[in-house]
Order: sequence, then structure tokens, then C-alpha cells
Amino acid sequence: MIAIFWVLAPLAAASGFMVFRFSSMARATIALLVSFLASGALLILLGLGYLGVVVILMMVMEMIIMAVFMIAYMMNPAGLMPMSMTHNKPRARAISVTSFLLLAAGIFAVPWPPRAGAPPASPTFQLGAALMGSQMLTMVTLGFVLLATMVTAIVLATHRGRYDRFGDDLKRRPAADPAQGGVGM
Amino acid sequence: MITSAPLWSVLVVPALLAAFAAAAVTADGLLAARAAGRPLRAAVAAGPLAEVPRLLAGQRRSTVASDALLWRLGVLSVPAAGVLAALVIPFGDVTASRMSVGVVWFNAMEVLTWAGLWMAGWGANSALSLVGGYRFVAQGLAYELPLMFALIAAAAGAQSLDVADIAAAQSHLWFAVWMPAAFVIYLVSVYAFSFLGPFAYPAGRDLAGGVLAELSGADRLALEAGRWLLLTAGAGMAVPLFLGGGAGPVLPAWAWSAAKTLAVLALLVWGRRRLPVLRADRYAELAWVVLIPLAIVQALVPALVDLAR
Amino acid sequence: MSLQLFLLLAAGLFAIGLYGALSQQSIVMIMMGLELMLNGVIVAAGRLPTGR
Repeated sequence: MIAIFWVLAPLAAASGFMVFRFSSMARATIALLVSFLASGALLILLGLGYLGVVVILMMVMEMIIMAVFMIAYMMNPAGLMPMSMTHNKPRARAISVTSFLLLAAGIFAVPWPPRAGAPPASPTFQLGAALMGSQMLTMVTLGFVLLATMVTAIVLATHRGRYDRFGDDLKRRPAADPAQGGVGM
Repeated sequence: MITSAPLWSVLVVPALLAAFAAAAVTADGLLAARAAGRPLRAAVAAGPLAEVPRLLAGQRRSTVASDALLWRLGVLSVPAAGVLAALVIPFGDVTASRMSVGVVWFNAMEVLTWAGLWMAGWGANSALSLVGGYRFVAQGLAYELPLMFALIAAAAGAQSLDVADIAAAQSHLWFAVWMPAAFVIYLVSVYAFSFLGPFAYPAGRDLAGGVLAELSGADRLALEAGRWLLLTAGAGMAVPLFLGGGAGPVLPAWAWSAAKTLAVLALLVWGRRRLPVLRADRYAELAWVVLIPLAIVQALVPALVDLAR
Repeated sequence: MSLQLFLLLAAGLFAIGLYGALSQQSIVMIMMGLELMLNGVIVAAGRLPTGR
């Protein structure tokens, strides 16, 4: 197990670092994907099978959607010319190195107590229950609120409103959309 | 009782998957010949498989300023996704890897095609190839959530994410019978993630092959084989999820698994030639506004059945 | 020892993400930095309750 850790952990850190070194936006996104895949594999290694596989599943989808946006919005998507869109690199480097050293000092200086007891039989369930158990209703409501917020943000962001789609009297069916097809809503 | 096979069985899975995929490709070749009016001979049946050595010996094309790393990685991840997804499919009474989260693993491995096809489309530095890759992302956004809810419906019916438990929970009645919407959505999604049949739009003929446009030689073989391996893995997974696994009266469990897999494959290969290719913008709204609520309601059915029990 | 290694990896991912979030000019790349920080937190949150 420790051997697999020594393969996955440097992979996660190195590909995370390469995200900001690649000139090609596509490669940067795939490097971030590789970092997440390594973390997912580490979670599977720790016995959190469901969480690890779900991290892999969600992150592949998220990174590909992010790749679409990266290619759309970044000005040098293929990295055919070297590009650097950074500001304040020396200070950012100093801050990040300082925070890493502080965290590392804390990790080694804190007297971690030995484990009292053993990991539970189903760690994923116990982790979920511990994080959300007392607030399960809040979590469920949060999920719906997040979804509603996303939908609302998209509706507010489009510059075509219902008068553009349904005409001035809101009676035109099917709606006049640039993308044809659909269910006629 | 489904048991996990020893570690070397991980090598048998690609071979078995390739055998079933070869059967599917042969059947497809025979159907194509019959549709074209040609007589069905053995040479016709061997035709698609004779492509394999031809493509292996062919020269691999490289384009100008291509992102070779992403291109080759993308092309390789499609067959890899098919093989990895097939690791959790039980064949009779053995499975290569009995995971407690087998259904989620299958879903995660088929999602690797999203990454693979996008990279394969991007890496070639070709407009048609790029359009093909983006078409697959558009199609993926449409099919993925209904597929997830269909898988959740099957898992909720057995109250377990383990594929073996789902197969065992169908001893009274197959899930395909009392969860038909989930079964149909699942079969449609198998076409979608293997971009065959009505969802062959990313490799469409109007794009000169789309993601396949700039590929030749071993890369083309990898992507073409990947499509059929994914179709076969999807058909194989339909058996424990919706068709009762290896259960059956007379024959041993592995024979029933093989027979049911071949039946689903036959249906998928036949349907491939019957259904027209759909454009993603025509069904994206349908997928989100109709199929997702339908799949959610379908997932409610086993939950209510379980509450009533 | 293994706990400290995992937490070190988490701290490393967090620091790399912080570097990216602070040094990049475009919002999308800043988001990549934020994602890396979340990655670090995920690894730490996965290791802390499951050690032996």
C-alpha cells in the first residue's frame, strides 16, 4: 500500500503543479484531471471505495466541461506560443511556500494521538453520517437551493427573455429559439 | 453466489470482451451485407475482423502541430474504459473484481470516454475532428444524468451498489419487467456512450468521420475497437442489472450469462441499423426535461416498493 | 507516519493551489487553483477518519 502511495502522491502533486506550467490550456485541464484521478485512487486505497470512485466520476465530467470553457475563454488554448498570464509571481510563490512550511511544521509538531479503536465497518457511511448526520435536512435543502441558484443564474444571464422567445403577447408556440428541436416548451 | 475470481482473471476479461465484441462486429457485417443485397458468405462474416490486421499494419497518421500526447492518450482511453468497465460484470458465478460499489465503478469507467473522445477530437489539430469531440461532449451531457438515475433505480431495487447483489435480487422478477423505463434508458445510453447507432453523431459521415477523421492504423483500430468494446460492456452489464444475471433453469450460470449478453448484443446491433442518427441539439432538451424526471420517478418505484416491504 | 505523509500531500496540494489562485490573471485559471485546494482538502478529509 505504501508503495502505491509513493506512486500516486507525487503524481497528484506534480500534475497539480504542471497545471500552471503548461502553455496549452487543454493540457492544463487534463493535468488537473490527472491530479484528481490520483486523489480518487488514494481515497480508494484508504478504503473509502464509494468516495474514491465518485471523485473519479465527478471530476472527469467536471474537467471536460471545464476544458470546453477553457478553450472558449482563454486566448491561447493550444499553447502553440509560450504564454504566461500571471501577476505577482514572486509574492505568490513566497506566500504559498510559507503556508506549506507552516502546515508541514504543524503536521510534524502536533502530537497526533494514536488511534483509539479501529476504522468502522463501512467508512463511507460513517464519514457521511459524521459530517451530515445532525444536519441532514439542511444538506438536502442546500442541494435543492444550489440547483435552483444555478438555474436562476443561467436564466438571468441569457439576454433573450420570454418576450423574445414567445412573442410580445407570450402566445407563440413553439418558442423561437436558435437551437431547434426540443419538446416545444 | 457470485465470487471474485483470482487476480489473473483480470487478463481474461479483455479477451472475453473482445470475443463478444468480435461476434457483434461480425453480426453487424452480416446485417450490412444483407442490407446491401450482397450474398451472405463466410468471407463477408470475416470482413470486419479482417480489418484488424489491415489496420495494425497500416501507417499511423500524424498531423501538423497536433497535441500528440493528448491525442494518443484520448484514443487509448476509449478501449481502456471499455475493459475497465467490464471488470465488474459477473460472468455466471465469477466476476473479475467484486467491488462493493460496482455500479458506480461502471459509471465512472464509461465516463472516461468523455475525456477520451474530447482529447481525441482536440489532439488531432483538425477542425472536423474537434467538432466530433465537441459533439460527443454535447451528447454526453444529455445521456449521462438519465443513465445515472437508471443505474440508481437498479441499485435501489436491490438496495446495494454491488452488481452481484443486484443480480441476486432478481430471483423473483427481473428488473427489466418492473422497471422498464430504467431498462430502456439504460439501453439508449449504451448506444450513447459507445457512440454507435442513433448516437454516432461524433463520428458522423457529415464530418468525414469526426473523431475518426484523422486516425489511421493502430489508432483507428483502437478507437473503432473501443466503440464496440464499450457496446459489449454495456450489453454485458445489462444482464446482471436488469435481466437477472446468470440465473436460469437448465444451463449453468455462465451459459445463461453468455446467452443473455448475446441476446442484448443482437438487439443493439440490429437496432443500430434501424435507427437514424440524431443530432444532439434535437434531443438535449428532451433528455433534460423529459428523461430525467422520468428516470427520477422510475427510481422512486423501487424505493417505494422497499418502504412498503 | 502514514498520517503525516497524507497530510503532507494535502498541504502540498493546498499550497500549489494557493500559488495558482494568487498568481494567475484569468478567472478560469484561478478556479483551477481553487480546485487544487479543494483536492488537498479532500485527501486530508479522507485520511483523517480512516487511519489505523
